[in-house]
Amino acid sequence: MDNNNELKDESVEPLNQSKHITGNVIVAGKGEGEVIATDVPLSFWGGYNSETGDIIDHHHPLYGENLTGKVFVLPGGRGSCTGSMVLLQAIYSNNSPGAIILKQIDEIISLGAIVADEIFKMKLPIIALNEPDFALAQKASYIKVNEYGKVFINH
Amino acid sequence: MSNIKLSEWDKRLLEGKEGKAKQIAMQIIVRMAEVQKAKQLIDISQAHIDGCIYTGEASLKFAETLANLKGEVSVPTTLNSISVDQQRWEKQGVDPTFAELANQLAQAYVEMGAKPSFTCSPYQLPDKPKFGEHIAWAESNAVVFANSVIGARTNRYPDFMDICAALTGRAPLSGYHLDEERLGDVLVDLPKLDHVDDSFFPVLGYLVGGKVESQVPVVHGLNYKPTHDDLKAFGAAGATSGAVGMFHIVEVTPEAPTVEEALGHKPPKEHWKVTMEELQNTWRELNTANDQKIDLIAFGNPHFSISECWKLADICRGKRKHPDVNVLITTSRYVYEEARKQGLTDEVERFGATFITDTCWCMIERPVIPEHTQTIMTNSAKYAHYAPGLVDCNVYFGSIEDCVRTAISGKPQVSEPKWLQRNNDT
Repeated sequence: MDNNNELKDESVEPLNQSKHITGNVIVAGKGEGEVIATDVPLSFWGGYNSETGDIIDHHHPLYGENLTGKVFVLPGGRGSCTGSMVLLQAIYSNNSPGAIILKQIDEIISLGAIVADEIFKMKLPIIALNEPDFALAQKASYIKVNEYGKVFINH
Repeated sequence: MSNIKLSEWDKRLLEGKEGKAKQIAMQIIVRMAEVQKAKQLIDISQAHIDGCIYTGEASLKFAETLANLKGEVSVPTTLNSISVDQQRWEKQGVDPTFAELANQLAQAYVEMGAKPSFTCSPYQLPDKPKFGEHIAWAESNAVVFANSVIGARTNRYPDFMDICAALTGRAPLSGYHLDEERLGDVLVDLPKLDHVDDSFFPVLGYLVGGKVESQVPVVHGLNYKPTHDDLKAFGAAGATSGAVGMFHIVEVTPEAPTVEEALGHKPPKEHWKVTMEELQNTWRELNTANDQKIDLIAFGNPHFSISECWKLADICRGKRKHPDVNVLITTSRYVYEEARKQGLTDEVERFGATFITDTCWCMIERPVIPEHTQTIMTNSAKYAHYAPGLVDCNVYFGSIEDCVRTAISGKPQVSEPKWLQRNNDT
């Protein structure tokens, strides 16, 4: 992660020095964290452990990384339809990423967060960005999403 | 709040006039419809539920919430493989607490009126959908088979959405329900290939899925008539390395009589000429093991079909597996019963193999996979992909025949298939 000297207290105030963008808000909510980004889609089922937050897909470039509390920037999902349940379980047990930023709308990833919201009243923000904004998010070191779906990006 | 045109029935459900369970289901459907930018909902004629896989407390809470609210399905609904073999879990040494939770989850869906079909290959059941029918199926391999091989219309319904569609009989009009979304995006030209066997289609599917991600591929230049088992393996692999929900194979699948029709008489977004090198690399990528022994042969991901039972019985007739190798086959109770009536299960069991029903490799853990197991061989690209992460094993991938030869010798009999050899190259 790049050091960012302009950021003194990144967790409390909005990231004033940062660029803010808006996207397609799939699930609204507040979330922030260090960015973990990839170009390769992920199947949450069979690719991610909801109890530890680790990526367990041996064929994924982020194999072994932990997503808990981070802002996960990925183009979309692949693989199993059960991804929604695995993500719900992660939200339910407070192990999920802090926010998810997508390039394409992904029904399977989205629905896990929608059900968490509808049934358990727990919010994991999910925002889909257009291609240039997604590219910015991928290069960010820290991202904050506010309750209106604004995405504050810091490099 | 939304731009979706709702029918009187949809509104009744949203207002809770058909009960709380259907109201929750309709709320979730409308939210998804908004995400998908659908303009209206449509009737679906059947549903297949994948949400019966136990993934933790939340999955059970969700299902029990709907079942306790007296939710009842509105259309014929089948259930996917579950996390235990209901008839054999005790003998297999499965933890009773886990089995109890897995059974409770299945039971919640059965209470809502779903059939205990317990299979990830619902297209092998007698009541499979017909060409053009709108359905709501979950389970990635079932979705891609229904769309591509049967010509029924379903999106890659996520777990949870499947039961919501089943409870209401409705789904957003979007994605593969629409004519234009079913057209091919990427034209995939194959090199000239000879000696194609059953290991070719999973490899090709895995390669294609990784490349096209969620686009629709149109496979062209196949000089071989694939079976339904080949198409199952192709689709399952493409829905693993990518998010393939629909494919065309020219002159094979029903919406691809010609390249032009598969592409909707438009130029493809991308034209990809597959090389032998790409196929070779994919085959190598699926073979992650480098061991001198094999502990387990895994057949039936997705669930073994009756024709695969025939093939396996033919290959292993009169032979016996090595005592150190376990051979396990997962299938549905329906296929198992058909295979039993045809004498196939006897033949396969004489070889030393064991059938498991209800559950499938994606859910199977230790001790059903024996504790000492380090190396697995499978004919499934899907399982070759997931097994290292799911059960921490090294995997060899090969044809059914290579798997049987390996089971007999106890040592990996893995050689580059004939169709991959260089003299094939053009």
